[in-house]
Amino acid sequence: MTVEAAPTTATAPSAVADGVTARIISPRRLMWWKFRKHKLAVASAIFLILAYLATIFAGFVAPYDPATRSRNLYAPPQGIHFFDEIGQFHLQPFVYGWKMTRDLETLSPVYTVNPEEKFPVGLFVRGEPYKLFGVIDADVRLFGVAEGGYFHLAGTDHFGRDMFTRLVYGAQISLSVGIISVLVSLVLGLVIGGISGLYGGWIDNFIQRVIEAIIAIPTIPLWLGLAAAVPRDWPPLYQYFAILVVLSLISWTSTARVARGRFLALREQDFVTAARVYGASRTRIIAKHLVPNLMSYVIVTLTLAIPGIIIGETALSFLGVGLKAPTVSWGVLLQESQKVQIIQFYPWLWIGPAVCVVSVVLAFNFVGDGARDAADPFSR
Amino acid sequence: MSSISVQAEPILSVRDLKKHFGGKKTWSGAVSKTIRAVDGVTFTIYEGETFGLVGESGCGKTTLGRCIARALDPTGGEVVYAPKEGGAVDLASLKPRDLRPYRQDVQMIFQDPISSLNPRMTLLDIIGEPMVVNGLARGEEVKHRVGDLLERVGLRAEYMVRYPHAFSGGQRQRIGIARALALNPRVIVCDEPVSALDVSVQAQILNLLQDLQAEKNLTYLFIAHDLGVVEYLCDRVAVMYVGQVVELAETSDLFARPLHPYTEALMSAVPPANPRAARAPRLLEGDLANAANLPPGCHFHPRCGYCVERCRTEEPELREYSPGRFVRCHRAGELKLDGVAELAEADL
Amino acid sequence: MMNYAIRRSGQMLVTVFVISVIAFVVIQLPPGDFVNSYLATLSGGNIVTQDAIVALRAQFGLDENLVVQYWRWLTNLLQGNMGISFQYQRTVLDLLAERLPLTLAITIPTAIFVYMVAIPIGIYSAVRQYSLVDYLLSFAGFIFLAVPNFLIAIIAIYIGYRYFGGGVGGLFSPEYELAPWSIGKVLNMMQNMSLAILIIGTSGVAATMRVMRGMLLDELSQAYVETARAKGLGEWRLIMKYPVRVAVSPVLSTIGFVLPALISGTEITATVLNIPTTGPLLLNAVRSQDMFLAASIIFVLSILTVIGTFISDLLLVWADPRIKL
Ligand SMILES: Nc1ncnc2c1ncn2[C@@H]1O[C@H](COP(=O)(O)OP(=O)(O)O)[C@@H](O)[C@H]1O
Ligand code: SF4
Ligand SMILES: [Mg+2]
Repeated sequence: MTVEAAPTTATAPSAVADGVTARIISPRRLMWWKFRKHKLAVASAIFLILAYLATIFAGFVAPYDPATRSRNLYAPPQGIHFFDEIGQFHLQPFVYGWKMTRDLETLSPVYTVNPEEKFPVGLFVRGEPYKLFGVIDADVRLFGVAEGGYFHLAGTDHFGRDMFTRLVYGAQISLSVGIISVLVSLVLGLVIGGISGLYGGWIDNFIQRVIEAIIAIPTIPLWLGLAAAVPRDWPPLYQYFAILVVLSLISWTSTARVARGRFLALREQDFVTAARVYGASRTRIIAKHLVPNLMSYVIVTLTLAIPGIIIGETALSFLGVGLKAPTVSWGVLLQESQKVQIIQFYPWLWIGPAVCVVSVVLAFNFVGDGARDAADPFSR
Repeated sequence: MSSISVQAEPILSVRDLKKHFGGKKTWSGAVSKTIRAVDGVTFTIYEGETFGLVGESGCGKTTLGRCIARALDPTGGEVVYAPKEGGAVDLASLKPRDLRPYRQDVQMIFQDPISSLNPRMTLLDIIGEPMVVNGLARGEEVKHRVGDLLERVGLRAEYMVRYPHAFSGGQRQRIGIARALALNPRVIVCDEPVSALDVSVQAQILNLLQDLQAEKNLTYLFIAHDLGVVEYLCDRVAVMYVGQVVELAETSDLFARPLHPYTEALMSAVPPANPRAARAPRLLEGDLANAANLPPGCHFHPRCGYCVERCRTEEPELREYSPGRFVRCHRAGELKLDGVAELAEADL
Repeated sequence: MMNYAIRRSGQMLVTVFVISVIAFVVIQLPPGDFVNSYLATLSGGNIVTQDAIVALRAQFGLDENLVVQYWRWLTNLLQGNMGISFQYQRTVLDLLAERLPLTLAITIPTAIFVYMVAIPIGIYSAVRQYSLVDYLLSFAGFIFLAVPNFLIAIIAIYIGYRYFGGGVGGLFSPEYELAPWSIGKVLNMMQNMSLAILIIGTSGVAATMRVMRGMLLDELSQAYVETARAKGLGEWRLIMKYPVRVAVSPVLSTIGFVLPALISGTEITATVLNIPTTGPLLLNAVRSQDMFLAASIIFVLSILTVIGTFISDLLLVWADPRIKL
């Protein structure tokens, strides 16, 4: 009997030679190849990884402590300069100090550049001591100015606290809310969607109606209503988890829908029939045949659900029913800058968190788009 | 393949098998129409033979095959199986737990080379899982056996670390065959195993199936809509029309002289083996009857060129026309229908 | 059609029932019962008699089990008795009657705006795939999808002050605030509302445009389009004649997702822009745990989206009989 030609290596860019030594192309690798083609998605993924690393090493990345106050209240961002006022080039960049006067009418502070004061900006400078991961004593900061100077990359707030620092610490909360909520949704969605898709019948019908109802309820009002139940006097950590749960309670529906749809489709695949015919148990079929084949789709849905959750946290905190100071999150920062005067006169206080939220949401959307295409590596 | 030896024992007896879909009341009160996908099928398969099942797409072949392998639970009827040891059992009515010991004996090969293999498993897992699940082998032993099976179906043992996407359609069917063989079954339900393949590859797979049958004394229920394949491979053939057997005969008899107008129509729809054999094609007109809304009388009558008044009102029974030949037609015998074989011979 | 309408109504009733359960849960969630929170929110001057408390407890069956309470609440609700707002000391129905029309007056035009703008843009983007305009539109779409409504509102306020020297927000500009109704006042109100509509509509437009573009691209790749082109039909006529019609139906049926999102957007934007819709009312209710009011607003808003979706579904089926019933 003649054997057909050597295996065709589907869409592999570097077609692998025949034989045992050949690299085995797993479906996961195929997905990675496909994802890699989306440059924007890859760039966004790198950006997100850096952002999450920054939250883990917040003490190192931020030049100050989030609670440290300086004399400069409401100071705008300091620009980084390589050329001084007489046009001379400095290899080490520097920032100018501020000269503060007061607006005689509104009494609000007005800052002008003080050419006398130059603070050279360096990398890995010694700054205020901090505890890395909350345990390791350290005092080296990613960037900063020598003692006696000050450097506020994103300006300062009404207490003179460094906004850049607060953005980094705010990211700890805002970004982790996205990930943890989505993991809760993953569990809820997989279990509920799985039950719906596997059992069918009235259970499926009931679950579908519940999901429809949740989708029909405008999200923000429902979040508001649920958030009302979080006691005001709870410690911040409790509140954090409570808000997390509130956010997950709604976002599981999209995962459940996808999981159900994939379960229904996969159940009809011949390899599942084969497994039934050779006597594989129901549990085994779910664990080895169904779940591995739907995970990529679920992950895509989750990636696309994270932006909604991050915006949700921001919106709730912004409206004053989510997280509250002293907790720092992007929503809390926006909430603090809600007054018309602040919007008008100290725009860096809201532009900072706004840029953070929008860029992270954009990045997740791009990654999700790329992942959606890669989720089905055998198409085309 | 020649006709079966006289002393062959029945291995599977299908009795009045039924599979209906839908017809349940939904929560909103609507009642969906019952689809009678398989509607009272009876035949016997003997050990070591290849029993063909033909009919248009949608006539219920797959459903029937799956009911026999208990990939589906039949609505009614019996599938009596004669195991090597012990008395006959009705596979159709066994509870899942009691079914387990017999599952190994009846396996399936599927039509679609893509969806029949789990894309997330290596060949080792795909072919090894049946053994592991049934406790036939474990660890190194599984690798060993999978390697042997791969070589037996014409693939290299080293391929076992690869994933299905690296293989062509024909190779994937070989993998599917290896999986079916993993449990040393006695009966294999082959559901159109070559119809998704290129013609050049079809013959290789069919030869492989024949070699395996001879070697392991396998019994095949071979489903096809391609009559050429059936004529080449099968000992006996059942022709199905909307869930029912309309004709059953030894292959040579059936092709020489069909008794049912539907069989004749099926044969005329295939291009003759010899293209010079000029004949007026009696093409099948109209669509397959709707299994949810069957016509009264003979289900084939709206498309039948020999239909008489009686056919419109009275449903024909499947009757034994001559020993071993069954037909479901009021006018069987009185009609002179065209076969294929005689034409080919006449032309030689 | 009739059958479809009946079946769809049945489904709608189930959905409404589930929503009512969720709304009831929202009432129950905060610790303590309503009367306690009522008493807690009381400040000096508002003395409630013991009798009033007892009457309240009886009316809502607060001493009975949850199922009974739910049933009381639902039957009261269906008779239009949504309870009282402790904070405002008025019936919820009253408050809703005052605020709801404005919510609708903003949401409905926004929905129309979204589809009227997104569908043509989507068509253009699909037909001119990979053109500069297509890239720009797609890019803008991504950005607007990522910027939440309330941020756009803040940006609008900033721009208003910075470049136009005037405040943005409120339903009327200061000069009309207390003035009697006049043509000028109506125009002023519409001007302020159109800003809100623009803000709320952007992300809807971004999302819908992408769906429209995708659907039409799918449709344009079908074989019949090639055939028609070969027959020499004019490009735009060809596209408008069939592919667009096929692609529009699924786009319009996204209303089930778009409507709740728009209401969400209306409520939060109204809060930032200080427009007296149900949004600021809900926020106040939530802040002071005035749960009757909060839950009623959530319930009514949800019912409105369900009804809106229902009507648009029926219209779609009526307009396009090819949709599977
Ligand atoms: N799971 C199912 N639910 C409802 N109808 C089905 C199902 N499976 C098959 N059918 C129907 O049963 C009939 C027979 O299908 P099938 O056995 O696949 O035919 P064949 O294999 O001969 O092409 C068809 O009308 C098909 O639509
Ligand atoms: S019974 Fe009548 S209609 Fe049916 S196949 Fe025979 S001749 Fe044709
Ligand atoms: Mg079939």
